[in-house]
Amino acid sequence: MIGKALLLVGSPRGGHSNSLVLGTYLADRLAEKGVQIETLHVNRLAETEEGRQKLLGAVDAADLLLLAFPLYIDCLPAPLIRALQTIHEHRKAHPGNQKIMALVNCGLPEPHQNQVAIDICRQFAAEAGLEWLGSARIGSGMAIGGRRLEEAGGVTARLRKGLDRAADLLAEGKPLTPEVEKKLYLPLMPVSVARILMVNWKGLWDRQASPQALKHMYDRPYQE
Amino acid sequence: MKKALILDGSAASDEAAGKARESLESLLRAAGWTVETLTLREKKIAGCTGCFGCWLKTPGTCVIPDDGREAAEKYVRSDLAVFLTPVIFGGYSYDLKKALDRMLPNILPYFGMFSGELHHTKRYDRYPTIVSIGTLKAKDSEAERIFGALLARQALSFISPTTFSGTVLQDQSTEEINARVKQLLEQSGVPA
Repeated sequence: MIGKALLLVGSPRGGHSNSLVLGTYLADRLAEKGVQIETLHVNRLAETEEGRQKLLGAVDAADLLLLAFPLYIDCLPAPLIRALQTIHEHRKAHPGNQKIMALVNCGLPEPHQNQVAIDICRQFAAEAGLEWLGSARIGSGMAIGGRRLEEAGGVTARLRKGLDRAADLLAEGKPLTPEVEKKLYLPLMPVSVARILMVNWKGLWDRQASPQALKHMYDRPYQE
Repeated sequence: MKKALILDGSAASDEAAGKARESLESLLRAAGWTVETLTLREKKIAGCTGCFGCWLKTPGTCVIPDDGREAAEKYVRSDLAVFLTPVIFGGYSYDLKKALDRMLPNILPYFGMFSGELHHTKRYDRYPTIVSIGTLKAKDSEAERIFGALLARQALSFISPTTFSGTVLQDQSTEEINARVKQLLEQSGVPA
């Protein structure tokens, strides 16, 4: 049984993010089963000695690490890489008996685009001596829109069922079964629909741009 | 004259990276290339904050005024970009990844289909070929596999015409590393 889980949120945004939403949903399900939860935002934590000690203290106190992060240029955001290196160095000197699970989400619809990021997390687990319990690979993560998963409606229904089942297994320290991992390998919107929408609807970005930026969207400041 | 940019994400203590870097610079210059190396550990590059200001406020330029802009500019102006890095869990070092995270301004926010999947579209007409060279303390076939797979993904994200990746080991001699670097350059079309 898992006594305590540490949710490490790897979004460089710091505060609120879809990664926090995903990680928190899973953490809340674990809490309902009696698992104590601590949440840390990785962002700039590993940049200072004080931050590193805080991170390692939290890691040492946990039986289960949950990594929740956005896909950044096909893999982990840089601050999360640094945090994992810090944990790895610590574990080499102080071997532990911990387990780890990772949730990655990307704005692109195809869940397979997250695969290399998960491979990196699994390799970290192997090198740091953590037991790998599985992953969630989510496409079209922006459909969450920063809302709690329960409030994001039908688009997250399948995801919530998958995470509920994952929590059942993780609370007992068990790896995700292939069936559960398959449930957590999903686009939040049908891929074909997302592709049509995203390719054809420039308004998705244009409506967020400042009026000045709209005039310069195609600028090439580094053109020789 | 063709331009090569080496993004060196290694630590000063990484001897294999040092040898690879010298080999790269030497081979490329002998082949008539202009070579510039950015030693990323010495650069002031803040982490990307995911604000999308590079698209929505100052299109094409990151809103953070530091060396991250220099790396993005030199990257897009090069014909060949080399990612030199220790292999960290199959991926890149923190210093290299920080610089790459800040290259989002070099593409547009809009989307298109590439190789059967969705990616952001080009801002510029052309982008460099990418070679990634990773250093390892010992042979690790899974880490090497991931390292190669990562660059293959980034070929699409960075809209690179071609990419090649390889690794060198810390205990390899200068000659062995030189031979491996030469092989990778030749694969990427640089006569070396």
